[in-house]
Amino acid sequence: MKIFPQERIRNFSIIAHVDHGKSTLADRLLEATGAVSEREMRDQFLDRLDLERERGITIKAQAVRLYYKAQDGEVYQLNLIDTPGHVDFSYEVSRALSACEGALLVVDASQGVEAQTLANVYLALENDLEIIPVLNKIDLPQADPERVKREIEEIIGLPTDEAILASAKHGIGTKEILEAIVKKIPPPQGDRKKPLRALIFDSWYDPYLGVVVLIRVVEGKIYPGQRIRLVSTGKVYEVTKVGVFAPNPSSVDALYAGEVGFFAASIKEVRETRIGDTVTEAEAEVEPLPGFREVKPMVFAGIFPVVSDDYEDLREAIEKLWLNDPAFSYEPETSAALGHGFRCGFQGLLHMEIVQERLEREFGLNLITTAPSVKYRVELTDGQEMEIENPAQWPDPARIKVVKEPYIRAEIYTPKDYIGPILRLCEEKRGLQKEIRYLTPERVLIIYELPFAEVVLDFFDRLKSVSRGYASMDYQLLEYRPGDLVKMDILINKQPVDALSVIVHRDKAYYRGRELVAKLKEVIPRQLFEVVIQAAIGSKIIARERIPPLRKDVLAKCYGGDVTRKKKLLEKQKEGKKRMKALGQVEIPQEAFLAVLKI
Amino acid sequence: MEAALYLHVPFCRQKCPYCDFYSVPTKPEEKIYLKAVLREAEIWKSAISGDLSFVTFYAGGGTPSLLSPSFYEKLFEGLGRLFDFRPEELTLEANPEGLNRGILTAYRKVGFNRLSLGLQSLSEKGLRALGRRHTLEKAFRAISDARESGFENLSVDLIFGWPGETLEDLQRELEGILRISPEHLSYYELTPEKGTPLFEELAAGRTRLPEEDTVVSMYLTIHESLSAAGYHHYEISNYARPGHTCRHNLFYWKALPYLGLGPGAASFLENKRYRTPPNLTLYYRALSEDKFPAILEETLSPEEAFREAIILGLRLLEGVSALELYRRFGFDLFQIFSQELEKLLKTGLIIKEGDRLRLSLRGVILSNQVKLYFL
Repeated sequence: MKIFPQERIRNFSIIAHVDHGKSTLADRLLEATGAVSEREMRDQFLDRLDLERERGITIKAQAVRLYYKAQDGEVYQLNLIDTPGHVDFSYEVSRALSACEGALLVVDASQGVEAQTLANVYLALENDLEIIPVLNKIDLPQADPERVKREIEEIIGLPTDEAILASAKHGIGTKEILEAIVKKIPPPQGDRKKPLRALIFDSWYDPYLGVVVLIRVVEGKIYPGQRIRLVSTGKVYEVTKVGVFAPNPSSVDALYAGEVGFFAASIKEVRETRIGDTVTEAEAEVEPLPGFREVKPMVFAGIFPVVSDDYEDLREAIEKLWLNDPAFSYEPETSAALGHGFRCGFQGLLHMEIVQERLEREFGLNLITTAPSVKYRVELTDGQEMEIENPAQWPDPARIKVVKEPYIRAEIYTPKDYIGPILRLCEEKRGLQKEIRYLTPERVLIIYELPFAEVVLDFFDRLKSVSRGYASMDYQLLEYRPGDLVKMDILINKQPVDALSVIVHRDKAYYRGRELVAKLKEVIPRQLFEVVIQAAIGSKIIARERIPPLRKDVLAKCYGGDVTRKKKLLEKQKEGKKRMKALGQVEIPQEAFLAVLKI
Repeated sequence: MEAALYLHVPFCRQKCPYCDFYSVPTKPEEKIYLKAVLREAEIWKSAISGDLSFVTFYAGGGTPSLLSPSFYEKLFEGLGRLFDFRPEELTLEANPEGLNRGILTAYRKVGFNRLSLGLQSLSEKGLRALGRRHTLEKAFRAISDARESGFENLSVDLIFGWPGETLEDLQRELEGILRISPEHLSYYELTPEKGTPLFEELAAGRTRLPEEDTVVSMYLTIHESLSAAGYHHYEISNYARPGHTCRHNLFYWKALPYLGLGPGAASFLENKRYRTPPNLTLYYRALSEDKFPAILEETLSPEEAFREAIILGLRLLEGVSALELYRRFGFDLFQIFSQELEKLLKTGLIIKEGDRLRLSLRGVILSNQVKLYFL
């Protein structure tokens, strides 16, 4: 195979807010370049995880190679790196962007600039990428490209005179986008004659190939038979296969500086490949490439197996998943109620949900996640300072001098019609108003400082509902500030359940306590005996509910023709029981541990 | 081997709003149906390995009393040619409407010796709530006609817990029943089955069942009144005077073999469960092409059969015998389920007496909770 000239390579990614049509545009590019035939085509082609398709979001970055014959008559190699849109996955995005020279900025022509568009654009600008604005969904009647162009210019500061008008759904603008990629995005630099330096930006285990490592070659080349070294571990391997996704995996003779692709070597475990590490030749002395900035988890929750015997399986699964998603952290935790499990840190609530779902699906586990918490700083009367990310570790109130909680600066973008309800929501969540700025006559930026603990609970859902889905938000961590916070315990039949404890603001304790026990009453099924649920601060009971005992559970009829069906009903009932955690005599469903999110 | 024979009669004048048994609201063409059923019996005959002796016959539905006595006469003749068919208990399910002394005498004459009358309620209010066609007067007439036609073994079907029913309604009904004094009673709690009009009405909030506590009180009231009147509560929903338990239905609850004919019927033979799809057109078509109309639904492993025998057996208030189970299946109930039983016995839902395990009265009302342990 002929070596592909570097000046005809373009590496780019697509950045967009959730639902602005990124995956659909990727589908169109695959079709237009003939990478996928019409017969093979399916929606969200690049989203490999079932979870991604079901939820219509991208979680993991992807790289795919396309060949495009441009109007100048030359064939170009385009490497498309697909990235997630949600703020929780910005770690994935920054990894992907470091492998590109340019990015398509997709903005919904009716919705306009959203918070996450901005967050990802800033990431792209930090990486010195050439940005091509694309206004998508121009076929919609409510599309207003002129307004959205103004927004892009005023809010982001990008010129839009050459912005492309597109409808990924109907294939409008695809050709123009491909031409712009070729004309505007610079080809990669990097000397192909120098020793190999490649950046690892993802790796995973493949049952056929073993560990597959996704790389961007920065200098030199990589080819089968080559002996390579991973700089951080110093371990040496022999490359067995080099290839690209086109979009199905296919072998190539080599990958050269500027190209994106994968290799497999005799690497046994994913943990040997660290994302952000540099790959070089066995004997070469090279400077490692700048890796990725480490991300600190913001939200913490316990993950426990429903059946204690599954602890070892959970440990293995968490270790494996972490290698694919190092943006979450974990350490062992023991709960009096739930037994052995892990305290995990996440980028946000969506990230937490995705990690739990991936653990359950990809590893066949049955798990309980406890209510998310932020990290508190507690100064004790003896001058000691503690960091607490688990309510179970909350010290005796008598020993507490001051509690500090993290605050964030929230930037909320919204059409002006929803200012009222959004302000009310922020006030309810103990927010401090900083600024309300009209970006355009129609769109407003609202800036608030909020206790992060209030945001992790249900802020996003509430924001979406009060703005009918139009508002979007991004946030940065500010600092720790003192707050009047107390620990609220939940008692079930007089026994405190540590995994249900939450930290709340004193002013809201009564309200939250009442709501939480009411919600628990709803989700805990009736048992053979009475169940009493109480919320308490210290020894003071602040709310109480009673679940009356189950009185009747019987099938009136069962004759020959009914046996199979009636047995199936019982089996379903038993399946539900199996998914419940037995606390003493009381059986509690998984969702009870997250009930605090639903109030 | 002794076995039970069931015939499903998939015809009704009109569907009742709570019923999910298969039937079509058409007038039966007896000749065609008879031919099909006998053809089906022939096919079974060639498929069954062991020799079955049918000791009970049960015509259920649907409305079996829509078929004439001569239909059954010819059916019995045909079955007698194919099998060892000398049933000692022959039950006909019937609705009060359309019955009279003449036809009842004729049913009695062709061999039926047990009549199961679908009364459902003894009040006009109840009949209305359940959407039944017959009147109370017709119901009482049917009972006296049955007695006069020589039916000495009479069963009545009743439903409690219908929308609007109160405890007083039920008590009055029980008084009425004791005056009728049937040998056997099936007293079912109204169960909304998916796909029935009743289910839809409830889901839409247009009607409501009595409170759970009321329904539980009804259960207990029925148990107490009938027990005091000399009835034996022998199955979750069934009561009988001494010597009048329904022998046919015991085959189901004791997991003994039975053969079911007609669309919608089920069969259980040698740990295999068959089901004939509930579709008269498909049934006729299969038989006109000499095809086996039933499908094999499930083959139970010895352990599954054992578990199922426990789950079904616990419907009977006498419960199950560990010794009998061991003899039949080779598994020791007390050993295999020792952990489960330890927990269950503490709940008081179940009682162990010698080698028997049975539900307590509270256990009857919560029997699903018990059965979950044996699935």
